[in-house]
Amino acid sequence: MDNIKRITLRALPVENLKQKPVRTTGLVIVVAVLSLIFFASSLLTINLGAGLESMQRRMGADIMVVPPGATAQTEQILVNSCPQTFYFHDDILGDIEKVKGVSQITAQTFISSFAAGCCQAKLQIIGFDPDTDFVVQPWIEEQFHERVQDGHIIVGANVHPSRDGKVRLFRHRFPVDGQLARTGTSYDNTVFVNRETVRLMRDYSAGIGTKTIAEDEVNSAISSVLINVTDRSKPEKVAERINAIPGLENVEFIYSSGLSSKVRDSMASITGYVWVFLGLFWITGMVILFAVFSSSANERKKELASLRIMGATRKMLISMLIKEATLVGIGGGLIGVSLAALLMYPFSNYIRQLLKLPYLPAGVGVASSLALACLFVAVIVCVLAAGVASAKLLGSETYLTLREGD
Amino acid sequence: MKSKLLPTLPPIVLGSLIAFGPQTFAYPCPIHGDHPMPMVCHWTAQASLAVGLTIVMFGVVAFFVDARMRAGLSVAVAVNAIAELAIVLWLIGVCENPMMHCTSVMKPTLVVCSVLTLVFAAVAAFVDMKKN
Repeated sequence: MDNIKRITLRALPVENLKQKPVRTTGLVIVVAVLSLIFFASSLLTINLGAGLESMQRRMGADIMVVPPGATAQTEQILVNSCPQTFYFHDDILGDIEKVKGVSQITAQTFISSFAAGCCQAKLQIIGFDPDTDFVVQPWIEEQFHERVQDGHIIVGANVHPSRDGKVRLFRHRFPVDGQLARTGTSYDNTVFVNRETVRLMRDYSAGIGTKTIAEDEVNSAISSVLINVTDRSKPEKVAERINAIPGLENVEFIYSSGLSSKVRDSMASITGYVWVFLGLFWITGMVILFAVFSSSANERKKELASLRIMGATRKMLISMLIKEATLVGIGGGLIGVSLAALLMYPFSNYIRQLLKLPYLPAGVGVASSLALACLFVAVIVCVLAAGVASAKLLGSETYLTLREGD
Repeated sequence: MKSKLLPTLPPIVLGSLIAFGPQTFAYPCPIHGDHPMPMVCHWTAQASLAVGLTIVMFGVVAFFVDARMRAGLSVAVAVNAIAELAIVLWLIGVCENPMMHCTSVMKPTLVVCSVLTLVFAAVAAFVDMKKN
C-alpha cells in the first residue's frame, strides 16, 4: 500500500501533463514558437530604435556641407559602414564661418584604409580638429577626459588593437589612446585621429604606394564641414546663404533631421513587415492554441465528469485546467524566449550587416523586461484558451456527459 | 522508437551542422594568394569538423543500443558539446574583427549548435537514466 503513489488535487495538473507527453509536447512547442517570434521581433524593433537614437546623438551637427555629388557617399559613411574618400579645399571654412546664422563650425577629413590582412576589414578614418570640433571631441572626452595625441588614434568598438595596444594601418602600427563604447552605427568601425595624424597617415600610405590625399593638398584637404546653427536660424536658410557664396553654388548639404528621417523610413518599412508577420503568426498561433485546448478538453470529458462525481467542484476543475495551461505557458514561454535570445545576441553583428542600418543590441535590463513580458503574454494566452474551452465543457450536466455514447 | 528520437536525432542534425557548417555556409576567413597564412578561425573550423563528426557518430550508435548505454552516449555528446564551446570561445577562437564572416556567422552558428546539443543531450541522458 505504501508503494502506491498518492495523487492530490494539487499534484493532479503536473500528473495530467506527464501522462499525455505527446499532447503536452505539442502545446509547449506551439507556445515556444509564438514566444520566440514575439521576443525576437520585439527585440529587433527595440535594437533598431536604439541604433537610430545612437546615430542621432553621434551625428551632432545641424548641417553637414559636402563636395558636389558626395551626399550619397557621406550617408553611406554615417549609416552603412562603407568607407569613402572625397575632398574639397579648406579655404571655404572662412567663407562659411561668416554666413549669418552659423554658430559653430568645424571640418573633418575622411580617409579609407585598405584591408591590411584577411582579418582586417576596411576602416573609415576620420580626421578632426580638436580645437574647433564639437561632434567627436565631446564624445571622446566623455570617456577619456583628454585629447588624442599626435600620431595616436582613438578606435570604435569594432576595431580591436593587438596585444601591444596598437592598430596596424598603412603598414604602420599606431598606438591606441582609447576605444569608444559601442554605438550600433558606422562609428564602431571608425578610427578617429587629429589633423596632424592625418598628415602622418598620408605619408605612410604614400610610402606603400596607396593613394589617399595628394601631397600638395594634405594641409588643406577636408571632406566635410559640420555646422551648428544659432537658435533663431533654420538650417535650410543657412544652407541657402552658403549656396549664394561664389564658388559654393554646387556644394551639397546633409541635414541631421533629414538623415534621421531617411533612416527612420527604412526602419519603418522593416518594422512594419515585422509587426504584420508577428500579427499573422500570433493570430494563427492563438487559433491553434484554442483548437488544441478545446479538443483536448473535449477528449477529457469523461475524465472531468468522473472527477466531478468523486466530489471535485467545477471551480476545482477549472483551477486544475488553468494550472495545466499555466505550466504549459511557462514551459513554452521559457523555451521560446531562451531560443530567441540564443539566436538574436550571438548573431547581432550579422543582423546589422544584413539590415545595413544602425542596430544597437539592447542591454540585460531591457532584454530581461521584454523576456518577462513575453512570458506573461504566453501564460495569459494559454490560460485564456484553457479557460474558454473548460468553461464551455463544464457547463453541461455531469451525468449526461459521463453516459454520453452509451 | 519514440524514446530513441531525443538521444539520436538532435546529435545527428546538430553534429552535422557543427561539422559541415564551417565547411559550407559558416566558413572561416579564406586562404588565398594574397593571404596564404591560415587564420585562427581556420583551425577552429578544422577542430569543429572532428568534434561534430564524433557527435554525429554517437547519435547514430545511440539508435542501436539500450537505454543505459544511450544515457552514457548522451553524456559523451554533452561533453563534446562543451569541448566545442571551449574550442570556439577560448581554446582556439576566431578572428577579433566583429565584421568578419568567421566572427559574425561561424562563431554564433557553432555556439548556438553547441548549446542546443548540450541541452538536448542533458535532457536525453536524464530521461534515459530515469528509465533504469
